[in-house]
Amino acid sequence: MSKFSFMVVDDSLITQRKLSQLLEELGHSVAGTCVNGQQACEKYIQLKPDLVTMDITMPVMGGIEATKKIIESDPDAVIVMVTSHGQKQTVIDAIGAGAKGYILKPFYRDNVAQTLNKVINKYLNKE
Amino acid sequence: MTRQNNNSIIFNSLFQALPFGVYIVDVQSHQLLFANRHLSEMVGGNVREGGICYREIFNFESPCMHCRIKELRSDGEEQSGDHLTFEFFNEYNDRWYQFHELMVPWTDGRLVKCTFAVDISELKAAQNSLAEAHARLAIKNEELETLYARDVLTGAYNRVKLDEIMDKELGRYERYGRLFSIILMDIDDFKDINDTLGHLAGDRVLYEMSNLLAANTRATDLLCRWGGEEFLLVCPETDSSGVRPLAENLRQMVAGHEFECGRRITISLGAATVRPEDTQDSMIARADKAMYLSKSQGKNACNFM
Repeated sequence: MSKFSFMVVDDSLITQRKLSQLLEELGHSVAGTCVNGQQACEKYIQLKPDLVTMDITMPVMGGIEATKKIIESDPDAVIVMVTSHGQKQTVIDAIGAGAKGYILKPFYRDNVAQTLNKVINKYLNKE
Repeated sequence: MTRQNNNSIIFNSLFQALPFGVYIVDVQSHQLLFANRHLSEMVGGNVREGGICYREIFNFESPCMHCRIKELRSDGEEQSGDHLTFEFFNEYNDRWYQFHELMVPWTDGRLVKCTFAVDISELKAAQNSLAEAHARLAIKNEELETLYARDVLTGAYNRVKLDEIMDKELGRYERYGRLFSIILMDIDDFKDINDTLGHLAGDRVLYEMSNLLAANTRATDLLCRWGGEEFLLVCPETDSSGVRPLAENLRQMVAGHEFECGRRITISLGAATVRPEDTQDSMIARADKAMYLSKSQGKNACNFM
């Protein structure tokens, strides 16, 4: 599987670190990290990562609003939610906003790898 | 042995025996007054009673993000018996806890917060796999909806979906008298684009046009691909006075847009507002007639019938 660049969005620095480390172990690179949705919208345009991992509850701007905004600016953006929120309505809202995958905390290597592979094969390995 | 000492021993042995973390904090100073053995084990040992709770337990320099003391005190008057239950994911040990917090009077009369932290990680794991399955299903539904309702090339709604939309709007008009309008748009000289620049460039123009139109219409308007180079916009809650400027704005916006292929591209438009006895066919036929009038006027024009 080819290597892809990620942007990790999470207000928890521990999660940022754990997730970045896991993504690197899986052979990907982390182009940048953000601590809220607003920063994510701005940084996405600069970094143009292949994939974004997005937390939901963050200060300033949450992950669902940020997902909508990023997809508005780039309809091909590939965003996967990585969150502790498993409530039905939150899941539906996130998918409705355009998220392509959903991973719940605590995230485990195999689970993350499997979900990301599916998303990558569907949206990034088209050719 | 005094009664107080005796109570304290009973209290201590009971809380030490509980199979979940318990700690008690002074709500004013955040001083940790009591922590049981289980709590110490949960956070890796070395919890010192007398220290500050967020430092001793969570290793933070300021009160925790999840701290609910303020909430328990939100009415301004701390009261014994106030109670909160919430779930909390601890990033440090990757475990889920259900926190039960309540305000109780301490032995010396001051009000303290007593927290019971029950590890619910196993329960959460089952809930999470269900939620993830739910998410996969929701994603699948979105994909199926796209396949069913969208034109593959342009992403606009297809004819199948258009029939549904028109049915719904005609039904709303019949039942509640809600007016709606449609705008039929045809790209001028599209054949020439295909012939001179090739079909791939033509497809690209269709894709770009679809995105351009979708981005410049209201959130409630619905864009469909009607035919080869024709798009149809359904505008709910829009009468003839509303649809005319809307169509004219679209005409001007397209004429002023620089397409990737480097050409100036225009559209001819025909608009119609629903009338009594209208069917989908009769309404679209009127918009079609108005659009052909625009073509006969030299294209890049807009008419209403």
